[in-house]
Amino acid sequence: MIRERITPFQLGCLCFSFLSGFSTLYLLEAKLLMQDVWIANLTACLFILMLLKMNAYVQNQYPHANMSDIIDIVLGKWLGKLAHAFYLLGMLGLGVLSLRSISVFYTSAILPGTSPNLIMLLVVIVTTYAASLGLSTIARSVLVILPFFVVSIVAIGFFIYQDVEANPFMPQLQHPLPLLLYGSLISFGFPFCKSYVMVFLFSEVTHQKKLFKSCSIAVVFSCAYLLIATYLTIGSLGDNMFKTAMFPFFSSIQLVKFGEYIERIEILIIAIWTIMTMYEIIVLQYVFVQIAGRLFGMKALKPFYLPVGVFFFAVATKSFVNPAELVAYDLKILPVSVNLNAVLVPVCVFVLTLFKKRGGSVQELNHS
Amino acid sequence: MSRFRRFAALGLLTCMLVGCSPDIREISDIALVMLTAIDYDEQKRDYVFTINCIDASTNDAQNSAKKLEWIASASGKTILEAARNLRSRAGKILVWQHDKFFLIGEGAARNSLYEVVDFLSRNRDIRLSGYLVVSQGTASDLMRIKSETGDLISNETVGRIKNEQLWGKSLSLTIKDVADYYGNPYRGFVTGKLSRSMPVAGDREVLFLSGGSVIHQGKLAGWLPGKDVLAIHLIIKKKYWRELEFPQTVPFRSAKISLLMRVANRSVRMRQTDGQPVFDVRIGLTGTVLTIDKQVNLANPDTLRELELAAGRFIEGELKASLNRFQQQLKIDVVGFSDIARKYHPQAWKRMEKTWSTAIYPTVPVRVHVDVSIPAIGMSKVLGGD
Amino acid sequence: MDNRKTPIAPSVVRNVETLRRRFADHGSISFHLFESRAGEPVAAAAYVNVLVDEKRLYRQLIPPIAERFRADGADIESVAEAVRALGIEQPASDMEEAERLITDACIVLFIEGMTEALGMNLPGYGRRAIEEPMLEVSVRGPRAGFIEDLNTNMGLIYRRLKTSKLKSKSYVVGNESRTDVKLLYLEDQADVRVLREIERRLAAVRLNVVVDSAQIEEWIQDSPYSPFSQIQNTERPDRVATALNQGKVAILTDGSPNVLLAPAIFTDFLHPSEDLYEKFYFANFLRGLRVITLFVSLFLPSVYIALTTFHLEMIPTPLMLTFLSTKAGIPLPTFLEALLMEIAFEVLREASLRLPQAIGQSVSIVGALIIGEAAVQSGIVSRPMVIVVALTGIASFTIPSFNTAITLRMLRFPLIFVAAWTGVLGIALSMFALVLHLCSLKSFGVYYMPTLEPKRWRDVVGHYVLLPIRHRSLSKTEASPESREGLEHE
Repeated sequence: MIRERITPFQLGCLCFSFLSGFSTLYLLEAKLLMQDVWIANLTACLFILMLLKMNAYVQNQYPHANMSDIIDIVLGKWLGKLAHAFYLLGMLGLGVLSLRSISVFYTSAILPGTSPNLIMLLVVIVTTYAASLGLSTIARSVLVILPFFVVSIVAIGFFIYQDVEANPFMPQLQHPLPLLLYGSLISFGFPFCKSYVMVFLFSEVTHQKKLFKSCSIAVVFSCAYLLIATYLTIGSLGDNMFKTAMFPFFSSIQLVKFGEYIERIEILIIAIWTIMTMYEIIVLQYVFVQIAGRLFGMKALKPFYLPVGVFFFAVATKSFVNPAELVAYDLKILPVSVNLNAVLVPVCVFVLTLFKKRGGSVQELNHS
Repeated sequence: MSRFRRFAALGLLTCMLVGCSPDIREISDIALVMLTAIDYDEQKRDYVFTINCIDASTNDAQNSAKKLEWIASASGKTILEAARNLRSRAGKILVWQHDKFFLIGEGAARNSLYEVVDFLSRNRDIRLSGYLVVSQGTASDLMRIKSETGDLISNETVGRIKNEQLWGKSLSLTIKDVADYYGNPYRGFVTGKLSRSMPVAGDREVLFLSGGSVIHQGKLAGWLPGKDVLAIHLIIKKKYWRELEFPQTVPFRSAKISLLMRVANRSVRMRQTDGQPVFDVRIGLTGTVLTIDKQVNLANPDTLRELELAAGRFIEGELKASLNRFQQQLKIDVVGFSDIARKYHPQAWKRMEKTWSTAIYPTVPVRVHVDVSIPAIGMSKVLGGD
Repeated sequence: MDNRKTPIAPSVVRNVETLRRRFADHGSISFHLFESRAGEPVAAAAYVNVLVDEKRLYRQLIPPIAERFRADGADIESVAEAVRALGIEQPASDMEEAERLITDACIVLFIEGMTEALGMNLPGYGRRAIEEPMLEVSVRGPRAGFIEDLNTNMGLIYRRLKTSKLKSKSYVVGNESRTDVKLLYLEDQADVRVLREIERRLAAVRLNVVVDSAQIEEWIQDSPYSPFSQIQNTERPDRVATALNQGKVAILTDGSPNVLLAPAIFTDFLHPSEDLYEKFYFANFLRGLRVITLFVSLFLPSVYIALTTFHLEMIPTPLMLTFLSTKAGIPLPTFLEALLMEIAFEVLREASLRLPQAIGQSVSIVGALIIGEAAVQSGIVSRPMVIVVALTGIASFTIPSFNTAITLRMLRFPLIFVAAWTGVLGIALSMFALVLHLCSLKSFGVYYMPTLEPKRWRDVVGHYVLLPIRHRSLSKTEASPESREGLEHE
C-alpha cells in the first residue's frame, strides 16, 4: 500500500479545522473571564506554539520516524507503551466529548426530538468512512470545505458586527491573576491543546522543514477566529445575555437578519459548521487507529477503522449523558488532565532528545 | 463488491427509517402562532396565555388564499402549563417560530416578569429577535381588539413596530435585549407600551403602540410619555437610532419650523472632573425642512445657520428635560449610563457601584450637546418670494 | 485460447478450401479465382462482400491483376508489385491473420506457391456522414462531430493538430469483436506516467465484444463502483484537440463516436467546450451559473424537505404564510410528495427520451403541463413542490456532461431520504460524505477534485475560472507528485 503524504499547506488547513470546529460552541473561558478572555486565549495560544515548536524540533531530529516511533525510541519500549496508552485515552476522551457536544447541540437547538444516540451514530458513520479514506483525502476535503466555511463565517461576522455597540473587550484587566490563569488553562484545555494530536501527523508531511510554520499559522488563525467570534458574540448579545446563553455564538448567529424577513439563516451556517466539527473526530479516529495499530502490532490498518468507530460510538453513548456533566468536565477536569498528554510527554521527549543529541547518539538512532 | 453491498445495506436502512423522526412537522398540520400575550392573575395566581394564530383553511384548494385567524386563551399555574393547556383546544400543532410579538400584561409585568423573560429566552422555538411589549391593562383583552385595516392583527402589529423608527415616540426592545438588560441591577430599560383608546374621529377603540414602559429591578416600574421615549430612542443602542427619523418643531424667530431629523452620530461619554463623574451626550442630527408657518428666508446661509443653532439648542433643552425626569423623578437609569461608567471607567465604577442607584445617578450632571445641520431645505426657497 | 497457427499452404485451392471450411455458414464470404492462360488456378481473392467496396473491386482491382496472371511469364513478384501499387498491402503470414484481415474489410489475395497472403483494405460498408454532435451542442464553435469510423475520427483530430508530436498507439480489444482502439497523445504534453498507466490498463482489458467506448471506460477507470465517471467522453474533435494540448490522452474506439479523454477531473464535466469560444466574462458567468445549478439539482428537493418539515423557522414569515395555504389539505407528507414528483419527472424524462423525437416532445409537454397542473388542481401535490421539482429538473439539464447530470439526479434520491429522516444534519453529513468521496477519487493518478495548493494556485483557479486567453496557462492535468510515486510503485 502506498502512503500518501500531505503538503504543509494541507496540514495547516487541517490543523485549523481541527482546532476551530468546536472552539466557538460553548465559549466557556469567555463566560468566566468576559472582557479579559483575550488574555487567556493569547496565553494558551503562545503556550501551544511553544509546545509545537518543541514537537517540530523533535520531529526534525528523526526525519523518517513517526512521532509514536520517536516516543518509543526516546522513552524506551515500556514507558513508550504507557505514554501511548495515555494518548489513546486522551484521544478517546476528546472524541467522545466532540460526539457528545454535537449531539447536545443538535438536541437542544435544532432537533429536540431526535435521539442523541442516533445523531452520534450518523456522525460516527461518516467520520469512520472519512478516516478510512486516509489522510490525503481528509486533508484535501478540508480544502474543499474550508472556503465555504470562511465565506459564510465572514459574511455572518460582518452582519453580527453591525449589532456590536460598544467594545465588548472593555474594561480590561478587571480579573485577578489566578482567575486569568485558570481561564488560560481552560482555553488551553479546550480548543488549543488538541493540537497535540496533530503532532502524530507530522511524519506524513512532505516538507519537514515547514512543519512548525504551517502549524503555527493554523494555531494563530484559529486563535484569531476564536477571538473574533468571542468579540462579536459578547458585543451582539450583551454581557448578561452572553453569560446566560448555552450556545452563545449560535444565539448571536440567530439574531442575524437579512432585510426584514430573511432571518434565522443559522441553519445553513450550522450545516457547514457541523462539517467543520467533524474534522476533529475524523483526525482523532485516524490517529487513534494509527497509534492503536502500532500498540497492538497490527499490519494492515484498514479493517481497524470500523471497530474503532464502533468503539468511539459505544463509549460516547455511555458518557456525559447530562449536558451539565459535559460542561463541568470541560471546566474542571479537562484543563488538568490534558496536561499529561499535551505537555508532560512532549516536554519529556524534547528534553531527552536534547540530551541524546548532546550525546551524539541521534545519528545512531536514526540508523537503527 | 463487498463495498457496494455495504452501501446498499446502509441505503436500505435509511429508506426504512425515513419518516421516523419525531421532529417532523408537516406544514399542513401546523398553526402558526403570530402573537402571544401573557397575563398574570394575581388573585388566582394563574397565568393566562393568549395566542393569535393563523391556520390555513383546509380542503379548499381553490380558495387557498383565505387564512383563518384564531384567538384563544388558556390558563395554568406556570406559563408552560398555560401554553400546553391551549393545546386541548387547538386543532393543529402550534408553532411559535414565526411569532415576532410578545405582549406582557400589566399584571404579569408587575408581578412575575422573571418567569416570562426566562420562558422566552430559554425556549428554542421563540426567536430572540422577537419583540417584547407591555400592555396597559390586560393583554388578552387587547389581543381581541379587531384590527383597523382588516388585515391580520399580527401583520398590523409588526408593521407598527417597523414604523417606530419613523416617528420615534415608541420603542420596542427585542427579547434578546430585554434578557440582556434584565439581569443588570444598576439600570432599567424601556420597551414598548401597547394601549387602547378611541382614535380621532373613530367609532371604536383601537390599539396604539406609543410611549414606553419602564422596567426596573425585574418588574414594571411605570409608564413613559412619547417625548421621553424619543430621548431614549436617540441615546441607547445604535441599532435603534440608526434608522430613526423623527419630526421636530422648532420655534425660530416668530415662526415655527418643522424639521424631519435623522441621527448622524451619537456618543455618550463619561469623564471625571474633581473625582465626580460627568456624562457628556453628544448627538449630531441632520434635518430636512418640511414646513414653515411664516415667511423665513432659509436660502440665506446666515439664517440657515441661525436655524441650525436654534434647533440644536431647542432639542438640547428637550433632551435635558427628559433626562432630568429620568434622574430625578423616575430615579432609574433607563439610558444605561451605568454601563458606560462600568465599561470605560472601571476604577471609578468600583467606587460608585454601591451608591449608584440611590445617590449618584439622581444627581450626576449630564451635559447634552446637540449639533443640527440642515443640508436640505426642500423644493421651495421662500413661499411668496422675499 | 488456441494459439496454434495454421500456416498458409502454397496451394491456392487448399487455402480456399480451408477458408470455406472456416467461414462455413458465414453467408457473406466471397472468392474470386484467377486463372493462368492455361486455365490453372494461380491466385484467389477472398473477401466479405458486405464489407468491401465490390464495385471498386471489380472495376479497379481485379481486371489489372487478372491481366497480369494471363500475361506471359507471370511471376509472383511482379503480381505482388502490381498489388502493392494498387492499394495498401498488409501481409498475412498465417490463416488466422488472413481471417482477421478478411473480417476487417480487406481483400486477401492468395497466390500459388506463396506462403504469405496479401491483404488490401477496401472498405465499402455504410458510414455516417460527419454531422453536428447530438449531445454536445454548441452555439458557437466547430460543428463537426465524430462518427463511428475510427479512421475518419483520427482524420478529424489530425486535421486540428498538424504536428509530428501527435503520437498514437494501437490496440485490439475484444476477443471476438477485435475492435481497434487507438491511443492519442501529444508527445511533450502528456504525462509519461499517466500514459504508461493507461497503456497498462488498456492491455489488461478482458472483453469478448467491444461495441462502444463506454465498455472500455468502465473497465479502465479507477473506481468502477463510484457513481461519478472518471473518464470524460466527447463527440467533438475540437474538444479532443484542446484536451490533448492540456496533456490528456485520447482513447478512440472503432465503432463509437465517443472519444474517451483521460485523466479527467470533476470540473471537466461542468464546462462544455463552448466556454472557450465565448467571451470570458460570459463564459465565467455561465460557469458560475452551472455551479449554482449543480447545487440546485443536487440539493434543492432535500433542502426544501428539510426546511418545510424540520426547520420551519428558517422560512421567511410571508413565505410561510403562502406555504401554509398552499399545503393545506394536501394528503401526502412532504417527503412522499417530493418522491412522487421526482419519480414522475424521471419517468417523463425517460419517456420523452425513448420515444421518437416528434412524439417525445408532445409527451413531455402533456406530462409536465397537464399532469402537473391537474395534480395541483386536484390537491394531490402542492404548488411549491411542483416548482421545486421543475427547477431541479431544469437545473440538472444545464450540466453539460450527460453522465454527470444523471449521477446528480440519482444522488438526489438518497439525499431526499436522508433529509426526510434527519433534516439539515442529514444533508450536512451526506454532503460531507460526498465531498470526501470526490476527494478520494483519482483518475489515472490525478486527483479528481482539484483543490487549492499555494504553488499551483493558478492551475487550480484555471480549473474553475476561465481566464482571458492571454493569461490562460496551460492548466495541465499532471499527476500529483505524491500519486506519481504511487503509480511507480504499483
